[in-house]
Amino acid sequence: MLPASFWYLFLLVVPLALVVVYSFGERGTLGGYSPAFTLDNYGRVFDRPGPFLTSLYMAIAGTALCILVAFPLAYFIATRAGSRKGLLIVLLVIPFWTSFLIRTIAWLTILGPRGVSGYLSDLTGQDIRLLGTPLSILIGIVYNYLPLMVFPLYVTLERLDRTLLEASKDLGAGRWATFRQVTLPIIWPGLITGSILVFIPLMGEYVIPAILGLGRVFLIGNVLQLDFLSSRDWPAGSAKAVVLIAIMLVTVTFYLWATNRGRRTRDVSVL
Amino acid sequence: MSAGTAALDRPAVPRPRLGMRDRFGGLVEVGFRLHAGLVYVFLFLPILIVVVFSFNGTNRNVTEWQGLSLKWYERALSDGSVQSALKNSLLIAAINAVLATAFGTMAALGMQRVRHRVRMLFDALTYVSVIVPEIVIALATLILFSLFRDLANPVLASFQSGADRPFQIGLGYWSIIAAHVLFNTSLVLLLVRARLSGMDRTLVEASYDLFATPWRTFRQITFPQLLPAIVAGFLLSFTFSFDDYVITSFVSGPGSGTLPLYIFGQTRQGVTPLTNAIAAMMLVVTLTILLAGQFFIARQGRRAGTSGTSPIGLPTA
Amino acid sequence: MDEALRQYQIAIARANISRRRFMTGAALAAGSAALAACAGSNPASSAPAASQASASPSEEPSATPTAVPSYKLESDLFLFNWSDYFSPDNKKTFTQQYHLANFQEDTYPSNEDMLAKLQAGGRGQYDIAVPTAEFSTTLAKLGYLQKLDKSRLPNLKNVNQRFLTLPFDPTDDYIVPKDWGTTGIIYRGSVKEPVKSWKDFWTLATGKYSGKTLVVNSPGDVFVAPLAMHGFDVNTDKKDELDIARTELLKLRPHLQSIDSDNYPDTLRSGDAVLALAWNGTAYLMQLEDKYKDTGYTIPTEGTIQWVDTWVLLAQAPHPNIAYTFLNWIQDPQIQVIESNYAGYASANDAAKPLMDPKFVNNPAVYVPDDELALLSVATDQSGNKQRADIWAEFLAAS
Repeated sequence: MLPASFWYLFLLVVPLALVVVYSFGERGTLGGYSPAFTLDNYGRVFDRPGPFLTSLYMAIAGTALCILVAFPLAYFIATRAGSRKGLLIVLLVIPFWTSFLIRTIAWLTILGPRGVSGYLSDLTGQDIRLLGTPLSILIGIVYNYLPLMVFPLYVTLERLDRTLLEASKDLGAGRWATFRQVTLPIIWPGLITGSILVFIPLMGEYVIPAILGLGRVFLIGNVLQLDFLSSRDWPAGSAKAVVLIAIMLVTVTFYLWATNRGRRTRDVSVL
Repeated sequence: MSAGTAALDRPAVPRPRLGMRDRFGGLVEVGFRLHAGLVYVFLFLPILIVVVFSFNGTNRNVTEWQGLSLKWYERALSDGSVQSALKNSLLIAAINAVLATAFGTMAALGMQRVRHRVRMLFDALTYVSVIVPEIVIALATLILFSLFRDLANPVLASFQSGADRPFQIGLGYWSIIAAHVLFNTSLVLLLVRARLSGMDRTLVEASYDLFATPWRTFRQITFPQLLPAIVAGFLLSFTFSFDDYVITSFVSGPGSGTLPLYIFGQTRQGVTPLTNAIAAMMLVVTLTILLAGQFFIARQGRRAGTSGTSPIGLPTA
Repeated sequence: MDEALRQYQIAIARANISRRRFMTGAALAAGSAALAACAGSNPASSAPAASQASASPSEEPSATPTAVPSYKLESDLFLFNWSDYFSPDNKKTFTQQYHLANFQEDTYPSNEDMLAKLQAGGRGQYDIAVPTAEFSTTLAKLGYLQKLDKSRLPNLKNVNQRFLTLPFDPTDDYIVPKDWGTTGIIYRGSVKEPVKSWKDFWTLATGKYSGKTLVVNSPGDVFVAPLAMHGFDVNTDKKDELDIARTELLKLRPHLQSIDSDNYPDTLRSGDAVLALAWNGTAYLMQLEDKYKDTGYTIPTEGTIQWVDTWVLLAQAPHPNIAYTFLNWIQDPQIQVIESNYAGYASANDAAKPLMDPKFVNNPAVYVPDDELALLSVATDQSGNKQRADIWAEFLAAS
């Protein structure tokens, strides 16, 4: 408990405090931060709601898609893979030990004019372009975020005791009822964790859309990048970051509260 | 016919039921397999492309095919900066994974014993660390580190008056590891907690009833149950650290550059197949280790007469 | 590809002839100096210290060695550079010649990343960085650079005067020019229409080649086009002029295939785009390949900007003496030829020009013809201009 607290304190709380302080400041004449106290930056945060909404749609779609792809896979590995479980799990992350950039560039090749797009164009005689569409971005997202959804689902699914399922069947429950009343409560923490681990970073994601969306999609991540790197207006970027963090924190808290309302966990410590 | 007679008609031993054996049972099974297979194809298709293009004889651009060549492998094995980047990446990722897994697991366990208020605060902090956009935390962390440097170095210098090249704190391995450990600890924490919350407490109670010490209970009851989450956390931490760009680019120092830094740096001039060659070699190494491990364990299992355990020690089925 | 290889080989051959000569000379000088210096060197330092006077950076054998005070050269050099922007051969030469224990080169993908890192606290880590022109002004104003002691840089006399009197540093206090190029219009051979001006670019992009045009993801370059097109100063901050630029940009936006600085060479090759507002280096590299040798590059008649990349000496550099040696050494003509051929860009060094392949020097996609020099302006740092930032964000967000 202690080391983690120390880490959080120094490497999270303090930097964040810094960000909050900056958000009230002004851009220095040459960029950066200049001490001041103004609420201007906060006033300008929602000047342009577009990027926020685009990020939101992308994050929701991406998370939903990840769940759809990850769940059957996690279920399969947890319950059907037998001795190959470990192998399959590790195989899942091996693609990520190649560089993120070359993976995404590989998708450019696969989806681009020398790959699927070109093939489809030749086939149909029309100029079909997959790159720059929401589809290509979503493919990139699912590809890069899949383990974040599979792992939490897996670790909870793995606990699923087969005998419980059998008992449920024996008691006459249909498949859906079994799922709802036996499986779902057990995997619920994993589902929540996975959703959070995917949704939240997705809100800030901008590199994948930049590459696979050909730079035509504009998201919050882009805005932050422009603020911090291009205009070097740290206070403006900080204010936006603070608002973003606050919104997401509230959302996550509400989400957790709403879904855990009926659950009571036993208070016995496992240590 | 009363229910009693009907009950007697049932066999004494319940029929074992694997999977859903209703009308769709077989189809569902096939469906699962197909889905899993497709996912792995999906995952490894770009990897295949990466490997294929590592043999690209082009001079520059990775995506245009210009004949077969091994020159990028030669370059990968001889280029010092690439090797140092790879070495740094592996070292940093490994240390980070160990620390994050340890801290995250300890925190997950520790959280059960603290007061509700503290737990909520900790929870919030965990989620915040995942929520903060990378560029923001990267910048803020760098500022923090350099403030620390500016304070610490004069103090250090005063202890070393007269030295020709006084020891100074600069950015380097420690700054990268410190920054990575932050978000990875949260990751492990969340994974272990997810596993923990569904855990059967009765076993623990039983263990205490049988006078086992907390450590013993942990070692023999809790730890094996948590193992999948811990291992998963370790793997993910390693992966994220290895592949991280934004944070690393800000807090790294001269000589501590990692592989992603090297690769992203190449984007402006065009990514060469060099990185493909490195990736391909790493793939070969890890796959070999993995398959060898699997083979040996299976062989061991056969000899011992059991069906064996998976390479990461998970109990089968 | 073969063309580049050939040019590279020619350059190497030329460099080798005189390099061998000065290498032996310098080796002898360095060797004798090392012996002399060893006697007086600080026993605490681990690397052999070569005195500055003997390892004189003046490479031309006929030049008289400049009388400079004896500086102790460090054994490490930390360079903060773009990726693949410094010839590995040159690096090896320098390392060997000055007995460096560690010539560390770290990379960054853009000026912004470099500046952000320095501004947030990466100072005191590196000796030399490579900012593009307008960023060096900002770095200087922020106090991150050291004023150059010209007496330690005699090779600057080889550099074209134009680069030593640039608007952003007219007395050349801070920079040693590296190479330069322009922002212009790249077009594939399949484009048969005239592409001589920004106006042409707009007409074609919004017309026949809609969906097949791209621009680089760089506001400093993209803003140049609409402003020059209307005859405004590319560095203007007048509200109404920028408003006009905004209109033009938004007119162009729906027709763009991509806004991308990284993969666009590939996009141009594959034909997904045939027209681009981009940098000259890409055009030159494409011309080297047989398949694309009809790629054209235009410096628009309304004018455009030249970009200049510069070596700068960072304040708090941990190894300033060897850094000075390097900054001078790099402007040796033969060294510049190797550099130029490696990166594929025009050198700022006049003494190196006669040593280069004439085809390279006369290629308008590399060296701008003298009569067009007047069309070139130099961009200044516009990162503080809120209107530009807003327009750019609007441009990116639009569809």
